[in-house]
Amino acid sequence: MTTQPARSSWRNNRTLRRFLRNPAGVIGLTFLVVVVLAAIFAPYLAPFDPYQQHLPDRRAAPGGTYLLGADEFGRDILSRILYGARVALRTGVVSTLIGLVAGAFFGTIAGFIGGWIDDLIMRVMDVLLAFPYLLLAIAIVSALGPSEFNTQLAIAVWTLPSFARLIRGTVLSLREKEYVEAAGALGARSGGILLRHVVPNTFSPLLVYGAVFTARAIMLEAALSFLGLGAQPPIASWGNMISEGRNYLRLAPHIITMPGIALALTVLAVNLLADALRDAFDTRTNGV
Amino acid sequence: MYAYVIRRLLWAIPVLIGITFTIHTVLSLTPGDPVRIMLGETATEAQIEAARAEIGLDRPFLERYGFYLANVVRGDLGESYRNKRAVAEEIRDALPATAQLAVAALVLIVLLGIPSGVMSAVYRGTWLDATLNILSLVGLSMPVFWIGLLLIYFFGFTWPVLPIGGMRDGLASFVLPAFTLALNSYAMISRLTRSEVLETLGEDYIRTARAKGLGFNVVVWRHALKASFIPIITVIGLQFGLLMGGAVLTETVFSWPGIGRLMVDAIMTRDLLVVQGAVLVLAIIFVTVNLAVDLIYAFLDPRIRFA
Amino acid sequence: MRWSFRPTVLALVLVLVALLGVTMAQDDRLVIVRPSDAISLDPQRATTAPEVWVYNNIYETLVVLDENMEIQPGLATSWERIDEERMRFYLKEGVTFHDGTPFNADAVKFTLERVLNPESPARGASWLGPIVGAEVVDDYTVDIVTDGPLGPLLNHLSMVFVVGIVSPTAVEQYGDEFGRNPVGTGPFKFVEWQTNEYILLERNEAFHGDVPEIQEVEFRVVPEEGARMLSFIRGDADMLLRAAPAELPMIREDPSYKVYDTPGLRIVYIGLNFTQEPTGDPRIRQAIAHAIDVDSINAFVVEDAMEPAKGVLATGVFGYAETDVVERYAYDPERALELFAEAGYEQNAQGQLVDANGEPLRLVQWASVGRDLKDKEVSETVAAQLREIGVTIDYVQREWGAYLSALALEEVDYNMFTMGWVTVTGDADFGLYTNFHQGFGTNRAHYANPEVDALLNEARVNLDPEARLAAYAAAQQQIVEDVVWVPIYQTRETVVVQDWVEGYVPHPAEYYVRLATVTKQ
Repeated sequence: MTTQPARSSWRNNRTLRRFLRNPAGVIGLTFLVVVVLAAIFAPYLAPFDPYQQHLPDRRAAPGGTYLLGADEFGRDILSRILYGARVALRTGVVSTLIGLVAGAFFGTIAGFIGGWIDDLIMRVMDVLLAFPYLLLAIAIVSALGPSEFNTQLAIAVWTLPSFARLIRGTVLSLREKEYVEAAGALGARSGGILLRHVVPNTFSPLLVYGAVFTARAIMLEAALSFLGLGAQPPIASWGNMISEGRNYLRLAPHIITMPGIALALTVLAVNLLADALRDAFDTRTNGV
Repeated sequence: MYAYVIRRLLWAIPVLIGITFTIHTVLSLTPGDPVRIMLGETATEAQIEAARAEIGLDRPFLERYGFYLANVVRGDLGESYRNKRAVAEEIRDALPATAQLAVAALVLIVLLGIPSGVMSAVYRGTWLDATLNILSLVGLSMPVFWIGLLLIYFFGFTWPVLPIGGMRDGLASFVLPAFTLALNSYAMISRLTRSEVLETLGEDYIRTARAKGLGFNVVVWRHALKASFIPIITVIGLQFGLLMGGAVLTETVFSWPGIGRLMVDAIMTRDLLVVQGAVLVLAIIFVTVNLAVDLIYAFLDPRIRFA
Repeated sequence: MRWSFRPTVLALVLVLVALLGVTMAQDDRLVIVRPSDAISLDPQRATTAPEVWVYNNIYETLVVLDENMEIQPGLATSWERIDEERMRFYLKEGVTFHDGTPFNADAVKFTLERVLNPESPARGASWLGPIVGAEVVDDYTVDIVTDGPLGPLLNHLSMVFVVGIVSPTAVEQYGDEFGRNPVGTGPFKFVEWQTNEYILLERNEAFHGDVPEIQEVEFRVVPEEGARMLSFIRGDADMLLRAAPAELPMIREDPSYKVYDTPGLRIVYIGLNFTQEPTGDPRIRQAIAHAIDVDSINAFVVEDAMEPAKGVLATGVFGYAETDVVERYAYDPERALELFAEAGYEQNAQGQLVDANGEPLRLVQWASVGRDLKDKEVSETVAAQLREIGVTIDYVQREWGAYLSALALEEVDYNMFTMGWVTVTGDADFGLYTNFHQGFGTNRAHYANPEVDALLNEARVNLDPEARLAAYAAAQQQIVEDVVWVPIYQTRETVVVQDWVEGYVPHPAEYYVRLATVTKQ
């Protein structure tokens, strides 16, 4: 990327200015920073040990000793939400990254080599895309056994085809472009061409996709946890908290309301950010 | 055109085989013996052995898959391990509930999503646009099962006016589940409509129409929206497939007797053939809907040739 | 913008129409909500509670186990022992199946042959033990033949989920679809089944006993506990199975509801694995027993909805004997730490139990989800209590299917596991031999004590009830001393109804929800 320092920084500045003009994006980013800080400093912020049960205080209402109430084991919901932010962010980032890297790998191969390899890879992606939503993830987690990483892996498999298609499309359109052909004619090695041209050109759509899929990964983790296929208890994940608290819907609706609000706000923040990025980069990512 | 349709259909075959093979492999690798699950904790080894042999679980997995495929070609989806019923029967019982729910959700999405997208485009940059945009993002950010539970709490307890589960109460049964299912997809249609309408509003013929003195409303609703229909329909078609598959959570929360619950129950009890059959049927629907969308696409826009 | 409001108006109209569609509860229909649907209504095909709740109202058996766990006449009016291997049953005359097929000795023979068919035996066939078949004497007399003597023969023949008598013509007619078209002789007939939503029965006007007052019964499925409670509370249903324990105290106090309950036959326990270190060490097992606060689990997690367990068998089972389990496993973290210390584990500066090399005391705990009432919550609390005194717990939680199969695998190492056992026959043999005899498949603790094996073998073959009781009592005390299980609770079979429902009689066996006597006021 060092070959185009001037162009790159000019672009970034304009993008940055456009981003900053969008209040929704700034709000989203600010909230996200708060969530990240909460996750990092959870041990210092949490008033209680998130795993400590206080059985006689089970389902205590918000206010009093427990600011946001206590769950069905008398664990402090606020502390668990703070710790839960760690799981949510980890899942969002890790599964998106796995999906992105794997997608980039397959997409690039398909786009560059073409021919039957392209066909094969893209048919496999079609297969993955044709699965009913959630179902492949459920099946994968059932096969591997529920754990935080396996959940992330299953989500990554779900995001993989979208990334692969995106990258392949970019690679194909770039291959047509003259400067890549020219670089090829000058004897530059494929790997070099790839790094120098493809990476910067896919950067902005990838960032937008990445943000969108991070939001979805967080939601999907919660959904899998809801079905009992997420991180193992007693780990405080928001999905687990909703899943475990839902049996007390009538007696203590706060047990699911509180983590649900944390989840929805965080996903909303990531979506706002993704939206602002999309506008700032002026990328068309319809259908995502 | 027939050639195109046939090519598309043939193209779907490897995808369908890939889907059944993937799910077969994943489920075969899944620890858990359907027989033990069926018989419960008090089952004796003799009971387990007998039941395993009865459903042919002692065969290697490739052999079972080959056998399965051969039967599918003959139109036989096999028998459920759990209750020995034909898988086709199980699916036929569960599919209508899901299809009806998906259609209801789709109606909501179209009725709410398109007008709000058009309004957003027309009033671009105003507070209305911003509000609608935020609203759609909020919808996109709500965990489906969580909203479902809150709705059950509110309409089942605080203000008990709506049925909170099952589909025996006619149209009323659909209100909460369809709303819940529609929530996430509404945002996509609304945002897409907005961007498409914005784009067409900028085109020459629209400006011409305006110049000819046609009312703004007529221009927007007759012309701009019509021109935006193709991409919108494409996405609606895709949404239908997503809704059919995405009903898993909604169906669990609202005790809906559909195919999502059938599949999850079957995965949990390792009822392999039921999962395979259901996934296959849903994928066929998905592929068919996509094909239909493409055909509508061509019908609406004669400029597109079947290349 | 006149146009744009049309869709909105249309949507509003749709919602209004929808609201009018809410149906009213019917007086002549009993609506029951329950957590899961039946798999099949063929008693020879599906044997767990969600099926039996429904079909024990459709099928009958030769003899019936009543709510006091005593045998009463069913389709047989009387019986006599012919010899050690043969019992003669005199059948009720004039009984017909719901499809008009006459009930007679041939139907009994047909059912037993179907159960014991070597090519595709019924799910519960092996529970019948030495029963080999039925021989027709005349139209209304039939002999049940065993291979060797069988003391609890009548108990076995009362199990509707094994030997519910089916209509031979219907079985021939429907084949594999019989499970969706069940035909028996019972007080209710099958009408309709929408998978995962409801099963509808109607009363059998031609029933040979007292025809039920209730016209129709609808079994609804509501998987979500919260939604199930809400739909019952707001009056959508007349009867609720598997009520949420946390809500029971309020329901008991509220005069709009009635709670029927009776001690059940299931024990839910934490099992300890003898072949997986460190739980092979008796001091470790004893320490674990002292570290688990069973009382507070029962009070706060199970919410007193169940009976605290008083042994490894439910109290209503023939052969149950009192042991010193409650005192012996009393909650005493101090004592637990002493025992851990004796076994070589002391708390370090962080309060973690470690051995001389600083290696933590690590236990692998497996927990099931959604099988027994609050099984997951109980397991999580046990884990938290052990962690509290410094034990390192590797907690593994699986939904029921994966869980049960995993425990059977060689390569799965577990120190502790959560499980429930229901002694369906009501006889200690089925509760003890299966769980504590060396090498038996369901002996998941891998417990092996020759002394206990000898007692269990003796009780199995001895026909003298007193001798059997003595052997079982000795075995139970020994099992308690060896700390094989830490029993948590014994079930209470609880059914909640609206105040307008009368005449329900609860049964200790979790399978039997008998509706023939129920009325709605």
